Amino acid sequence: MVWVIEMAGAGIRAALGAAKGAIDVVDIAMTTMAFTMAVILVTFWHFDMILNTRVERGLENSHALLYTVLESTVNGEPIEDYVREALIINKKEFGGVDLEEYLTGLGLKNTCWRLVNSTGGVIFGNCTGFERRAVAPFVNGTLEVWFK
Amino acid sequence: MRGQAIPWHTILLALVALLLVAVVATFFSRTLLKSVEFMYVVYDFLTAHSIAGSSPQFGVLTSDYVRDVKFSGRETTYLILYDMRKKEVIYTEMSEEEAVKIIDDALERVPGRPGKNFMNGNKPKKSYYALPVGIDREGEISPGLLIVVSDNKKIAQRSESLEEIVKSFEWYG
Repeated sequence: MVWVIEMAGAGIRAALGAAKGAIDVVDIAMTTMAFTMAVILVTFWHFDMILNTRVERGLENSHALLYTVLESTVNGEPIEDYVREALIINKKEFGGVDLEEYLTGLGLKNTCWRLVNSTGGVIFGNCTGFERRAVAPFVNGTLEVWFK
Repeated sequence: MRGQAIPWHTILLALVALLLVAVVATFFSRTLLKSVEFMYVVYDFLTAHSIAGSSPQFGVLTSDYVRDVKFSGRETTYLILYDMRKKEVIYTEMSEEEAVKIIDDALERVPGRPGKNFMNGNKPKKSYYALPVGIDREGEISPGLLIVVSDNKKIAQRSESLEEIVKSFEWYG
């Protein structure tokens, strides 16, 4: 009888030991898995950020916008000529065309236009909170397009 | 004696690991979806530049030219030409209502930021790219937008893959 009890006790101790060992293995496996997942997560997050930037900004074509506007015409004359003349007289209007009205009237919601003379004076365009994306240089200043 | 209880730290570790697996899986599917979406937008981008670049007067289009233009994937693509100065849809291959919806979104994202409003569940249904172009209107050139909208369901049904269609714009590379 004593022998049976001793055998049973040994069996229980072995089972408990094995269970403890198994839990240790599970702990190690889970910890390794958690670390691996964290590394994968950081890698994906980085990739996601790059992709976001590429999707959001990679296909931007600010120059197409700027030059499309400059090549557009009023009374047969390109807006480029009106901008050049407006910069010479340091005003936002020339030949009956109010450039600020013309540019903002295009309805582009996250775009800001700025006309700057050669001394850095802003003729029109308060682009606070925007980023400068494209610049058309003229002898007497620049026309700039800024985006949010 | 109680059964061998699983220690709390093992349960915690298991929960953290499972949570991380779930987060990684979500992130993976989101990133994959974004890259697919990006491919569609690249297709729209290339198509828009291809159309504008091959017009008789570089970057200046007429509604007749847009109507007759041929390119790879034409049947899966809708074109819209919009006059920004006169706020007028010059040409559309979609219903006026749908076109206006896309134009409104494009005016917020010009130039070149892809729209996000055209998803079908978690799949991009239609993508678009809006390229600023000049529009020849009887001598006057108006600043406008050429919007290439692609039906991604139709693209997916084509025998050639999206990559193959994009590669067909060899001039760009």
